[in-house]
Amino acid sequence: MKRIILPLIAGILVAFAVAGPLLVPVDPLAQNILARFAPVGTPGHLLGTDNFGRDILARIATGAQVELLTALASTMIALSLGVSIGVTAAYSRGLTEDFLMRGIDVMLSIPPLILALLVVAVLGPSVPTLIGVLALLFTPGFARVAYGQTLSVRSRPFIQAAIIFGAPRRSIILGQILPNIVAPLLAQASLTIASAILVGSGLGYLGLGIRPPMPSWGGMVADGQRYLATHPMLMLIPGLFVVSAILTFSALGDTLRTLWDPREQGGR
Amino acid sequence: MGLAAYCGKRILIGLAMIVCVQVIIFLAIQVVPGDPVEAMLSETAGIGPDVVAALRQQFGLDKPMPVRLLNHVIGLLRLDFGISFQYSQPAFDIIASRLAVSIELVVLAAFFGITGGILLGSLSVQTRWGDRLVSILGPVILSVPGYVLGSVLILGLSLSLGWLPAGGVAPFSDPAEHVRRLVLPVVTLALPIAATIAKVTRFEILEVRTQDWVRTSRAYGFPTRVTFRRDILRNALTPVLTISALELGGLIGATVLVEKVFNLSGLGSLLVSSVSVRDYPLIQGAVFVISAFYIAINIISDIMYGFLDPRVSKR
Repeated sequence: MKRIILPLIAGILVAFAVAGPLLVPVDPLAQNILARFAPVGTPGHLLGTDNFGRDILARIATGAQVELLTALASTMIALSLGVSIGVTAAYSRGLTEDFLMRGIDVMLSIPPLILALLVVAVLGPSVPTLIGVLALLFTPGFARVAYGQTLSVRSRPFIQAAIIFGAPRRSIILGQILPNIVAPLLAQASLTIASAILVGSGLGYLGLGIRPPMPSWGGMVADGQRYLATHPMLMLIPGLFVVSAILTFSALGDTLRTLWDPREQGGR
Repeated sequence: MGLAAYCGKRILIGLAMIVCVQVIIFLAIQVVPGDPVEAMLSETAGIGPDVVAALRQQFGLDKPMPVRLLNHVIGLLRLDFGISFQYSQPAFDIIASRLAVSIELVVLAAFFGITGGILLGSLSVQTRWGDRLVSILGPVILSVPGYVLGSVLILGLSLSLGWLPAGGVAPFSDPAEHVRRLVLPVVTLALPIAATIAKVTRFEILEVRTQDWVRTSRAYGFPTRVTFRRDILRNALTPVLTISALELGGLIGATVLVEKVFNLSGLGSLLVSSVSVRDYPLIQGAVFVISAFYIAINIISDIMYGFLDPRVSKR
């Protein structure tokens, strides 16, 4: 049970970040030169202020909304695209299968962060670009899982029976195959949200994610790094939230996977 | 011979993939409205159309698109990526000058990450503290992005304790300082790899341990160490190899972040700065080198897989 404690604390932190603005309605962009570098626990600025005197809690909360929104949206897109590709490939076999799965291989042959950098270079940084890039990056993962699962479900007797009965392809895929592969896909989705936060905040750190002055967690770490020697909290606080968010979703994904496939239990 | 044909096929597919990636990038850049010359000159006002035309001609942008694509691919084969817009030097020379730092980082991090991971994974099934370390600390380390880990290491080991320098590169002529400056970036890159490899090694060992041949080996009375090394670890390492290749690929991405954290002027930081000013020759060149490296790793791991498991190359 010990391994639950850390993810639990992390989850509470993430919830705190999302709920933050409801508790303390402060403008994340409001500057106050007189209140620069306020320490953690200052009345009115629970987590202190940054080099422009902006409230860190408000910035963390706004960052959390953007960071989680992009992660969730891109995962949903990747999930639908990947599952369509994977299930179609596994169900139709033959030429379609070869074409789709080799395409997935090509997508996997570009290093993820490099691909993201390139798309941002071409389209310029913005939230929709970010969501699109992340969706593109994580589609192959879903396609692989959906493909493998569909192949194994497809040979089971009830699917064979449905085919013999002459059930339409659509109803077999939607009614028989999808419900049987949904559990591993959910686990994959949770792990993907974690990766999306990792890559998305990394792009923010490089200054290629969300445009300043809109706060992003990665961008806050990059800004905080400049004051590392004198005010380490500016880096540590956003860093802690990034780690918490990733830890929460990867622990959730691992738990879901263990429930689905108890064999994995020994592996962790 | 089966294996030679298998290797040849893998290398051909790899080369085709590199060309594919380049063509995709080239076409993607064409889609963007405005050409690089406009992007270059957008900041400077009052430039006549004759200057724009001259610059276009200099960079070969006045020719039709298929000709440029052909020129680009021919240029790649001669390792000529064109002239960098921001440095006005051949992109290849600039990339070559930045490559050493990145290669050093990747090779050292891969070595320490993979050997450390296998060691930790083996320890985790044999000792109690190893088990705790891998199953509790492992997931936490995997949740820490490289740029946060690097910043925390700088804060702890260089700013607070003053043990190691916070960044920068020292020349080879000063070996001690050179190594000292590499320690933190390499640790930052190697820790998550070690955590992943340890997790996989542990899982595989637990799987292999229940096989019949292990029981037979024990029944023959071989010492535990011999059984472990010869019968368990060797068989557990094949999947570890695949994961290692994947991790090496991820390492290239992580280097981009870590180079920024530690202020190292390698290929990754070059790519980032080129992306922010849209220096296309440098971007294309850097991506060419990186994707070639990435694909080479995949080919090598596939071929090694063929050696370790002869069934693979027969398919």
